[in-house]
Order: sequence, then structure tokens, then C-alpha cells
Amino acid sequence: MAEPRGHLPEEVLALIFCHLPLRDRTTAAQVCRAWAAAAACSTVWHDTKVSCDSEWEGMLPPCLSACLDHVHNLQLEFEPAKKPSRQAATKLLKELVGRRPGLRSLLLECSGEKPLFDSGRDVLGAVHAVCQTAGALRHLDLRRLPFMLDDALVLQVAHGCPQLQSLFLNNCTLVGSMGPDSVLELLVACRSLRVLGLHLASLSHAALGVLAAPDRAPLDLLALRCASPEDTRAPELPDQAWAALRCRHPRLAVELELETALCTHTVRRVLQPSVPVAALRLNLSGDTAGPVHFAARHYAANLRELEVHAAASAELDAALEALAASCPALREVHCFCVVRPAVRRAFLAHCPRLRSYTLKLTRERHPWRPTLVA
Amino acid sequence: MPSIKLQSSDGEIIEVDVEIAKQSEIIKTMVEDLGMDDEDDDPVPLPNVSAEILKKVIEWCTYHMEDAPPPPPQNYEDKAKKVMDIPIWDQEFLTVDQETLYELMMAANYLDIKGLFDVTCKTVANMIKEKTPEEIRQTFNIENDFTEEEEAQLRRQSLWREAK
Repeated sequence: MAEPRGHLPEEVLALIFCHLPLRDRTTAAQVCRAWAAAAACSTVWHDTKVSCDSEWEGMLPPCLSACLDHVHNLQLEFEPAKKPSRQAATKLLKELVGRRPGLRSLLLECSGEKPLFDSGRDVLGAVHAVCQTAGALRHLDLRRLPFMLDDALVLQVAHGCPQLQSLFLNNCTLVGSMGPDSVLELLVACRSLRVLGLHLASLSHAALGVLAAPDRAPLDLLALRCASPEDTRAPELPDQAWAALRCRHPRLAVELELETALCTHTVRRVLQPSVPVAALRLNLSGDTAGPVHFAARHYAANLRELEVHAAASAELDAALEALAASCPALREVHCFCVVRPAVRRAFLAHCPRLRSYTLKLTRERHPWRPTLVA
Repeated sequence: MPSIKLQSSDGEIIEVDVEIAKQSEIIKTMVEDLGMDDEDDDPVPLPNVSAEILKKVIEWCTYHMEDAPPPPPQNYEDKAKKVMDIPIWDQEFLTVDQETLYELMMAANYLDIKGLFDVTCKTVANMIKEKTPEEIRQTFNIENDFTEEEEAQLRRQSLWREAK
């Protein structure tokens, strides 16, 4: 039976529109009545992705603004260097304040140039407002927001989002401003947290103790970024505290990101033997071979991913070969300097689970793409 | 190898390996829960699927027989990573006229074959992306049934700048 084209049932149209980012959904709603009705279905909006580039003025037609009620998971991308894009993003976030049942997950992504001397007050203010009324929020990911996150935001999340299961505050900023006390308060309030991303300076010995407490959800992932001057000055987290945490959460995986600002001394303080490191990213201006050797000795059982940015050297090659020989669980290794052939041979020989690697023997043209293991 | 007979809307009977057919949740339920056995030779009627489309569906299911079921999302990150990529084989398989694409989508929906339904939806979604309403109407041969006033209102709220 031949049906006229375009007359698909509403529920099928709705399932097609699920795959469209927000802008295309609003266009679809302007095609014809049947499509407008389908676009307004709640199922379309549970997962919504929005790209606020400079062409989009950030307004939803009235027939669709009610659909924001149905958004559970929002992925919002914008260009902080472009005013219309920021305004659209800020406006959209404000539209979400106070909606019921409210957001369950929020992920912010910034593209384009990073604006200099820009505190991002407008966007952060809107995020703050969203968190104030998002009692159902379970996931908050601010890793790709280039603005400094502060104690006020942490406290707002602590008070407003008790059901939080995953929280990423380990964004790339030059300076850190989230003190350990506010983070401690957040950890005490949010006992369902399973996944946590922080700057090193925000994590205190007391916080490790709270995370090891009995009456909270099992901790699956702790991602630590060590990059700012505050991180360099952070007090040492003793090995025993890590051991206790590991004992309490046997499945815990720690991801460590160590950046150029850290001196060798600080690096040694961060790399404790009992930390269950599963992913290590090194972008140090000083000695890298030492940390790689350390990882080979102490993180062999759990290490799944290694990323190295350093200058090529024979010491580094030797360290990588040693690591390859002792880390059977390794899935990915990415080295952004030239290595000698023995290094690549070592990883291919010793790491049966290897699925992707960047081990270049010559200086290829950038960008360096990884090789997938068949 | 046990097989099952499927009857299309236009009366054609097609025999297919049971394991391949079980990619359809409907057929899987029939075979497993309702206990169809080998002696049961009656073809399963599929009044909503023509022979031509049924054959294509079987072709898709045969190719994807060995696919491991996707691992359940381990954590929030996995869930957020919605894969928009359509595998190359599926892209080629779905390079067909619109009518066939729609019929494949409806057949996948009716037979409850999640993988096929998913890729057909994504394919149609890709045809909608980054177009103006008029371009979409032309692509899908859809009539604009808004009234003049409704159109004017939509134009006022237009999200597209005139110069594109």
C-alpha cells in the first residue's frame, strides 16, 4: 500500500528527530503540521544537543519552548569568544532554571578561541542558577569550560544537587580557585558520587577520608588534574590515605593529569605507590623518564592508558620499554615525541590488550593520529 | 540448520535461518516463548512487509548476524557518547530511493529490529540536517499545510538569518 511520502507515523518521526541537534529540530517543526506535532513529543527531547554558534539566536519558537521541560540530558556547546554564541548559551541555560522534573545531566563544551581575561561570569552565573533548582541533577561535566570555577559554585552544587553521581570540575584553567573546604562540604553532601574530577589543590587528606567512609556509593573514578600553582603548593596526600581509599573502593580507577607547571619535587609527592592509577597523562617540562619508571614499578597492575608529551631521549625510550614489559593491562599508549623502534616492538609484544597507540619512529606531519590495533 | 518460513504481504514465502530471523524481537518471541518447533511448517504471516523489502531486511540481518551485541553503557560518559556514525556497509546498503528507505524503516519498526531501525532513522535524520524548511519539503516531497497566518508567525520567529 503506497502511502504518500513524508507521512510517517508520529512516533517514528519523533524517533528520527531524537537524532537531530536542537536547531534542526526547530527547522523540522516548521516543515508541516505533522512534523510540528512530532517535534513537540517529549521523547524527542530527553537527550538534547545544542550548538550555539553565531548563526543561532538562541530562541525557541513558543510551540517548542515547553519542550525544554522534557530535557533530561543536555549537551551544550558554544564559542566563548563570540558574543552572540555566549548570549545564546546563557539564555538557554536560564530558560532551564526551575523546570520540573528538571535536568538530570548537563555537559558544557566550549569551542573556538579561549577568551583572554574573561571570567565567564554570565555563563557561570547561569550554571549557578541551574544548579540552584536542579535537585534531580545526576551528572555535571564542566571539564571543557575554560573559566575559573569557584567555591561559590561548588557550594551551590553541594546544596542544590544531592543526588549527584558524577561531577567533573577538572577543567583547564591557569589558576585554580576551588578550595579543599568547599569540596569537602560537597563530598559530605553528595554521597551518591561515583565519578569525580577535581584539581589536585581541591582534594585534601580529609576529603580522602570522607570518600573512604562506609555509608556512601562505591567510587569508580577519581580524575585529578595537577597543573596550576595552587596544585604545586597543595599539601601531600599520604600514601596510607590512598591505601585506605583503595581498600574501601577496590574498583577505584584514578586518572592523573600532570602538567608543565609541576616541578619534579611536586610530581614525586603526587605519585604515591598506593594510588590505583589507571590512566596517566604526563606533560612535564622536567624529567619524564622518572615518572614513567615509577609507573612501571607501582602502577603495573591497573595501568590502562598512558600519554606522554616530552622531548625525545634515550632515557625516555628505556623507561617506556620498561613500562611496556610490566603493564599487561595497557590498552592505549600515546607518545608525542619520536621513539626508537624497540619501544614500539616492546608495546606490541608485551601488551595483548593494546587497542590504540601513537608511537612514531619519525617526525611526521602534525596532527599525529593514533594507530588502531587490528 | 533450523529455518523458519516468512510470508510477505504479497504472498511470497521466504525461508530463512532461524538464528538470522531472531534478530527481529517479534520473531524471537514467537520462536522462544511460544515454542514453535521444527515440525511447525506454517509460514509466519507478515502483512505489513512486501517481499522486496523482506528480502532486503533478511540481507541486513544476515550481514549483521555475527555482530556482538553492543556492550551496555558502563558509565555516564559512554551513555553521552551517542554514536552518529553509520557503518560503511550500512551506508551503502541504505543508498536506495526514499520509498525503499521508508519501507525498510517501517519494516524494522514493525519487526522490532533495533539495529536496522536505528541506522534507517539516522540516515533520514542526516537528510534533514542543516536544511531550511523549504529544502526539507523538497527533499521529502512534503506539502506545506500551514495557514498563511501560521507561516507569517513562523517567519517572524525564524531562526535563520536571511543571508546564508
